[in-house]
Amino acid sequence: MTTTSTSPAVRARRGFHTRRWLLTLLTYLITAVFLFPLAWMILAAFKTEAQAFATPPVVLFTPTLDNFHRAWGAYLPALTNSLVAALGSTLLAFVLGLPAAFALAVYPTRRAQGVLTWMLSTKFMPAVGVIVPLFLLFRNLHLLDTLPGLILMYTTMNLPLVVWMMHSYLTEIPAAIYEAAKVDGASVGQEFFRIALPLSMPGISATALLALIFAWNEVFFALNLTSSAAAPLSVFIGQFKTSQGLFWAQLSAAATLTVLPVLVFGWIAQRQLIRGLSFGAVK
Amino acid sequence: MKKSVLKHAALMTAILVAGSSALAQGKKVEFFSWWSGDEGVAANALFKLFEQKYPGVKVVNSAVAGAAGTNAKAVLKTRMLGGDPPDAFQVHAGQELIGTWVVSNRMEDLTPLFKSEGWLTKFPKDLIPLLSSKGGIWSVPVNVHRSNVMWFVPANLKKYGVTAPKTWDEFLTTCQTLKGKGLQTPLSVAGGFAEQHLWESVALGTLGTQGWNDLFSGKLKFTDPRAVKVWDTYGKVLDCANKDMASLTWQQATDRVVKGQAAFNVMGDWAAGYMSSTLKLKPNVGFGWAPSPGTAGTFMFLSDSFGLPKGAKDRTEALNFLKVLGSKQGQDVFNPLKGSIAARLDSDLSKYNVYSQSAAKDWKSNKIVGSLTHGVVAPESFMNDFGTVIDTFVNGRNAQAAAAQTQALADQAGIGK
Amino acid sequence: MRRVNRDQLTALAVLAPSLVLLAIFVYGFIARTAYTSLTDWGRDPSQALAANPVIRYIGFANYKDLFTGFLDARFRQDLVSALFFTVFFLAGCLLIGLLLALMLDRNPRGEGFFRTVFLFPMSLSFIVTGTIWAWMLQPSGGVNRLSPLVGLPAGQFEWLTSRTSIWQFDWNRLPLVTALVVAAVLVWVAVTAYREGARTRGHVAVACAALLALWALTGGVTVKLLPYPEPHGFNLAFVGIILAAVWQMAGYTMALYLAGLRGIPEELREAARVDGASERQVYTRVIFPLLAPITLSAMIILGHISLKIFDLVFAMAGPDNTQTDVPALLMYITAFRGNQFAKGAAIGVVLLVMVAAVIVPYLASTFRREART
Repeated sequence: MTTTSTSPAVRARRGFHTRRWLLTLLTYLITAVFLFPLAWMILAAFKTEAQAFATPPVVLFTPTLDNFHRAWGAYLPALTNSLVAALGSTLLAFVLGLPAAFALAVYPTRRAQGVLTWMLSTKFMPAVGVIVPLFLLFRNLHLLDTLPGLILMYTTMNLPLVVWMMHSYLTEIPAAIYEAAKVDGASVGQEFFRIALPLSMPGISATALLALIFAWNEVFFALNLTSSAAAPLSVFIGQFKTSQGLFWAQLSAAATLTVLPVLVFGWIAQRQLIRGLSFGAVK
Repeated sequence: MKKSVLKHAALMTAILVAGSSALAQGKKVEFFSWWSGDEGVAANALFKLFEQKYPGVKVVNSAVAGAAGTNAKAVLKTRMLGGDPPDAFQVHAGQELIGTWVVSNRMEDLTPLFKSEGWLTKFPKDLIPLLSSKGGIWSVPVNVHRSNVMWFVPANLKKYGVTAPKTWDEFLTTCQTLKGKGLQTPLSVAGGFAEQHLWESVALGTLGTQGWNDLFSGKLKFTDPRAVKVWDTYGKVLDCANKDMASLTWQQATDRVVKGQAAFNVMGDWAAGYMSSTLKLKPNVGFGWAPSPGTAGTFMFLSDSFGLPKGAKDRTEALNFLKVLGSKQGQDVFNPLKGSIAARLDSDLSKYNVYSQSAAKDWKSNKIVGSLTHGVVAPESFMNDFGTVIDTFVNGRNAQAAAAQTQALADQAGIGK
Repeated sequence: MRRVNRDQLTALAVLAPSLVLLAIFVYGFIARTAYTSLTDWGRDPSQALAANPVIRYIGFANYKDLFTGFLDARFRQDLVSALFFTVFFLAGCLLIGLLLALMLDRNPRGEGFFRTVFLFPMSLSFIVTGTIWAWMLQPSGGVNRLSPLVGLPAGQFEWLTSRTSIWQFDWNRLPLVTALVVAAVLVWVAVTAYREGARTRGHVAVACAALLALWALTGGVTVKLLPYPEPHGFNLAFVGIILAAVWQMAGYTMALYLAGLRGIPEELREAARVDGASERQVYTRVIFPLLAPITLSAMIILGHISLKIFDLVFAMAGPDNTQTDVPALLMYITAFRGNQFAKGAAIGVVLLVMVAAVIVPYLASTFRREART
């Protein structure tokens, strides 16, 4: 999927200049339509409330940073919560999931595939199917509205993803390398730390990005299990919206701050995103 | 890798411990509400008064803004169930508190406080029973709003040659007159709670004060022909209203009256605050009001009140706070800023605006009934589904079905038991 | 020999924490939810939030209420809405995704850039997408104000609050319709069975179909689940939500299709052209059939997302807009606002069964495929 690969079929049809020109135009048009909503939001973040509400929409205006200043105070704690929850859960999911993926990849028993599929199945289950007992457990353990509680939940959510993705990366390491290490008398631990870990670094970073994005974007658990002290950005935006629907410019500023990291990460991890969502349907 | 996890966990624990112990120093009282913006200003005035009276006690304001308290209620539930109740929390007086937190045995009875402060005679006598159940009084009402008010612009009514209708039948006639004169939607209604809000005014106006009370004491069934007629009337009233209800906020519905796109609007008296403060209209000139049709002499109230949850961490301070909330001085500091009236009968009316003075006069002389939409007469479990019943009715207009559904809801919620 | 055993033990030891965690937090809690759904927890308000609630087993009463109790019309509308939403969301994503993929496949100049643009909405959270689109679709601004820019009157459509519902049917007719549909399927099964010469299977299918049809004509016409007719249909308020959802996920189907198109060897296309196929026939006869498995995967992955949808609707229309309600949202309101925990759990289980019906066959086939290789 490189940009320079031009299929022969296309070369063969070089004659259809107008059609290609039209196609290009159409592509740009659709691109504009795709970008429009986000662009509109980011523009609104720099407008005054009055300008954001104006009809017809104001296109030329003097940008202001007021909205960011005003949103900042409430944004910062939510940002901290989101960062801690996303990083903490990703780390924990790797601590648990990476050795598990290694074990499944290096000792492929008959059951390995079954275990993987079973783990994967947990990822598809709707959150509403577990939320009631979960809420009770959190209540009894005093985990409601705490970051450790949220981290625990996101770890469980990302664990199957980490195992599944890392398994597919680890199986790409040729068995011969392990065999050679075994001949040299390496222990299982050494195989893991000396071979698997360094060789799957690209896979680890890609999977970690994906886990971070999923935790960052999660809403349902956050909404039900946290309320104020541990509320991450998703809850912050959700409450901001329902409470103050009339402050669109300010909301846009908060939302812009929220999506910025994801836009960057998402751009880097684009292909992993597709892979992660499809669970092996596409590689 | 393991090491860093431990470090991380240790760090986080340290932060959490540090955070909670910092709060533990010094006396404090935590005040939980959904007041922000203008209402937050009123609440701050209360805090100031309290801190003057009880020096050395800090008020911790944990307001959760937005969505008419929906967000705050969710947070409250999480905290109550999580064993971390705030010292005093805002709740609509009546069944909204009783049906959720009193029945589950999580509130303290405030009868001793009412007795020691002499409040039993300071509030209207119709009010106390609505705050009570099982022999206890459960919350201190801070303010009072009126639900059954119809708003209009006097000059516009004059222009059309009509007056504010006295009954719903008269309203329907007026509606036809106005339609005949080219006003397509004589009544403007907003979406969501406003549809239920209109329903309770129609019901009160159709059934009368006694009928309304009987409905919620179980003496009058929702399936009684008289109660079914409420739905018929409600349907006819809706025929006079705009069709795009769901996309309007209550402020936008009020705007339509002000702009002359509609003649009437039924809304709680916070609309007076909106029209006088935000739209800068003069009471009795820029906007006028009357009890909603058929409800003259009756004050359908709702009230923000504060209760004392069992297990409150600063019980003594919380009780002191409630004392300030229920005092004449406290109520007269808070309410003029909030745009509501005092629940007490002895407030100093010179501090209030023109509308509030008229409302306070009615509060003293009228019969008092509780609002349904705003939590006085029915518990949350009823209200949660009643919205669906209204919605189904608005789409399908089946009065029999709506009445039967409401009765089933009432049975389920234990109304009239 | 000993080495192998020790390795297996190590493998088990490192796997165990993950397995236990998932077993408890997912399947353990699902079992617990299923049990809760069979109790009366929340029916008595005084027990709902009590410190030690008294909870009784009441069998399937909550499910009976959901499907035939006349207070739960909202749940039934939500089911219908979820199905309509899924159908249109899938159709939109597949169609637009395919078009985008074909576009980029035929004109790959700047493909990297375009692909990035089409994919970027995917990395946003639904709550942000919802926030943006809610603003764009508000009745008196946004999209409705675009038409005046080209000289047309402003749009009047109430994107998220319209009360118009189309393709309505009466819920009371559901058993009848179900019986007739199942009978039709059985007839089709019988026909194929006879064609394949499986006479017994054919006879059984015909007999069942006949029984169902007989019941439909005698009892089915008069059966009434509810005391009143209860129309359900496709709420037009969903159109805006579908638009936003397609905007977010169309890039994903595009990426899947693009990968599929790139996987088709050029020789195949050439061979078809040599055989005299027109350019359109190359697509309809060669390329599209080869993309069918991708379509199926995409349908399943997007289908389970759309059945579970919560955050997008929550952010776009709020939890109280009954016109755009979906089962997950109703579950949230029922359990956490109405304190009806058991009924909420029952809604969760119904949703779970629907998702499982989509996912389990897919996982089973994936498993068999992977196990073979």
